[in-house]
This record gives sequence, C-alpha cells and structure tokens, in this order.
Amino acid sequence: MSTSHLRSPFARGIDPAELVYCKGFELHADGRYADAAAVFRVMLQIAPTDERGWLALGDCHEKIGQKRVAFEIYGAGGVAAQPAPRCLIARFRILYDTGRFAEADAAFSDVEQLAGHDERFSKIVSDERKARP
Amino acid sequence: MTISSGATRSTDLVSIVSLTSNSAGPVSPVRDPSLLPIPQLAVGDPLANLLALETASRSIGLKNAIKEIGHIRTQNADEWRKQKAALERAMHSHKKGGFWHKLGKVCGTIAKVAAVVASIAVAVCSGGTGAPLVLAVAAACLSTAAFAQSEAHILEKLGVDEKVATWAEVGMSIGAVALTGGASLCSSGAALTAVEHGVQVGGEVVAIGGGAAAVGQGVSMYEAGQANGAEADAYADIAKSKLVDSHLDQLLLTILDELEQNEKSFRRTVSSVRSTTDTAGATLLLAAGRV
Repeated sequence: MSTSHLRSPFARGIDPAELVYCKGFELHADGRYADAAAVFRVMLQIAPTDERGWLALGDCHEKIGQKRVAFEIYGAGGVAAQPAPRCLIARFRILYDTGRFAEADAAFSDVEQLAGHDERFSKIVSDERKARP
Repeated sequence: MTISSGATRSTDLVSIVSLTSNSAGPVSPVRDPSLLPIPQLAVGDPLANLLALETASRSIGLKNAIKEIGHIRTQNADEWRKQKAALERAMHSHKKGGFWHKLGKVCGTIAKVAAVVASIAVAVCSGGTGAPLVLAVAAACLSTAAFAQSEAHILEKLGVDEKVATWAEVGMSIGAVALTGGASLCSSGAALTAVEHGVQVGGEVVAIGGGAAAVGQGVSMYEAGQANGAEADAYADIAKSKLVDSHLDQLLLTILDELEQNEKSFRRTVSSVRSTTDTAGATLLLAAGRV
C-alpha cells in the first residue's frame, strides 16, 4: 500500500522554489522590484542553496539603486549556493563599475576557474570580459 | 562538463563608500545582459496555482488517509481474530496430549514463518516498482523482526527448536536484505550497503530461495520428536499474524507522518503566499497613492 499520494505537491516533485522563482521573475520583469524582492526572500527561505534566489534578490536591490546591499547579497550567495558563478559575475560587475579593478580582476579569475570547460558558461564569461575589458 | 565547486572565491570586503560612489571608475556604457536564468515553469500565476494545488492535495490526502486508516483497522481486527483462533487451536492441541509429529510437519511450520518473508518480498518486489517507501517500510519491519528474533529468541519461546529458529532468523534477514536492495534500486539506484551489495533485483528471488533453503537445512538438522506439530503450527500462525500486524502498524505510522508533513507544508505555503500577497497589496496601495 503506497502512501505517496498523501504527500503534498512539494513532496510529489513540484519544486516550490521553482514556483516562487517564477513569480518573482514575473514581478521583476514587470519592474516591480520591491515586490519581486519580497518573493525572492521567500524563495531563499525555501531554497537557500539556489543561486538564482540570491542573484535575483541582489539584482532587485541593484535595480533600486542599493548596490552595496546587492554586493553583500551576491557575496552571501557565493557562499550559500556554491558554486555560484553568476553571483561572482554580479560581484565582478559591481567591483568593476566602482573602479576597484584589482579586486574585479581577482573576482573574474574566480569566475573563469568556475567556468572551466563549460561551453555555455564560458560564452557568458567571455562576453562579460568584452563588456568590461 | 559541469562547473567545478572546488574553485576559490573572492572574499574581499568592499567598503560602503567605494560601492556607493560611481566616480572612482568607469561605469559600463552598455546595458548589462541579465544574469537571471529563465524560470523552468511557464505558468500564469504560480502562487495561485500552488495554493490551489496544495488545497486540493490536502483535501484528497485527508480523505485517503481516513480511508486507509479505516482499512488498516479492519485488517488489524482480522489479524487479531486469526491470532485468537490460532491460540485456541494451540490450546486445543496442547490439551490433546501432545504427540510428536513427523519432521515434515515441522518443516511446514517453519516454512510458514519463512513464507511471511518470501511472500511479502516477492509481492512487493514484483509489483512495487512505484512504491519504494512501502518497500523500505516492509524491509524495516522484517529487519526489526529478524533483530527481535536474534535478541529475544521469540521463535524458541514459541516452542520452535533453537537450531531451526536460527535458520528461520537467517531467512528473515535475507528477506529483509532483498527488500532493502529492491527499495534502494527503486528509489534512485543508490549504492547498496556492504551487506546488501551482493543482492541485485534479479537475485532477490534467489536470495529468498536461499533463505528457504537455509530453513530447509535447519529443518534437516532438527531432531524428530522435539515439537508438537499442531501446536507449533498454531504458534507459527500467530508469529505470521504478528508480523503482518507489525507491518500494518508501521504503515499506520507512515501515513500519520505523511499527514503531518502535508499539514506543515500546507501551512508554510499559505503563510508564504499570504506574505507575498500582502506585499503586493501594499505596493498597489502605494502606487495608487502616488497616482
């Protein structure tokens, strides 16, 4: 006698983090960054090791001009959601844009190491380098 | 190739001033491409869907749980009736003066105990590919039974010879291993433990057969005239019934656990959705105020 049907949709394989991320992404795309940030905070409580939550929350803060907050969020994401290459790129962007080139280069080296031989991600990394030589 | 997790990361702290000031360096002239991955789900209103799904699931889960608990109670009552009848038979046989039965009779008695293992194992392994949880519960139940036997010598207390009881115990252990192996393979193909390593899906029946053979060997070592066949038969029926009882109890506990988890999950979801909805409402109010 199976009891699997008694489980919630979460337990049946529907990823709650994915659902919440989907909603947050929608709000973010509509430019409702504060609302999106609230959703991504919920997401981080559900899935603290999901890099997307950290990245999206940081991006919401960046969009409303809170770069310092965003920087710290990306940093936290880099620790909580290892590997978090996108969080590293986001950090690199902030460092570069604020003129801290040495630190930006160090961060970028980390990104390159993480990218390794991943073709898809290597493309993102090389595009990033072109944008910020 | 996937991205390695072993790489080092920059942990440099950047001062508040340097980050808030844009005058220190060039700002990227181009608009940065978004790093946010596209969601894997394409749904219109995920939170509403989620809530509806949770509510529906909760309702269905509750109804099914009540139905299944009722079913288990009925089965429990049946098992109790069987136990009572077996006890009466045992008492009757005992009163009859206890003549010693032949070796074959004892073999049948022990086979009955081993059959509990074999029948559950075969039934579950052949038809239970979608129910690794049940397999795990059954294996745990059998393993517990085998452990209890080695600790308390239950079969011996039930009147079965020590040597035969030992072989029956071996049979139960092998059955449990076979079941656990099935569960592991059904769930994710995860590595089996050292004890279970040699047991493959195709080998389950062989393993159970081995258990039965072991029981047979135990029976062959059994000396004639040491047990009252009818009485032992009745006690074997009780042991069998007890095993089924134990399995039902485990199942009941599992259902209750699942229900509790379901309820907790539902509360968490509702809370998250409420929080998000409140935020959305507050934002709308603010936006309306500005307009």
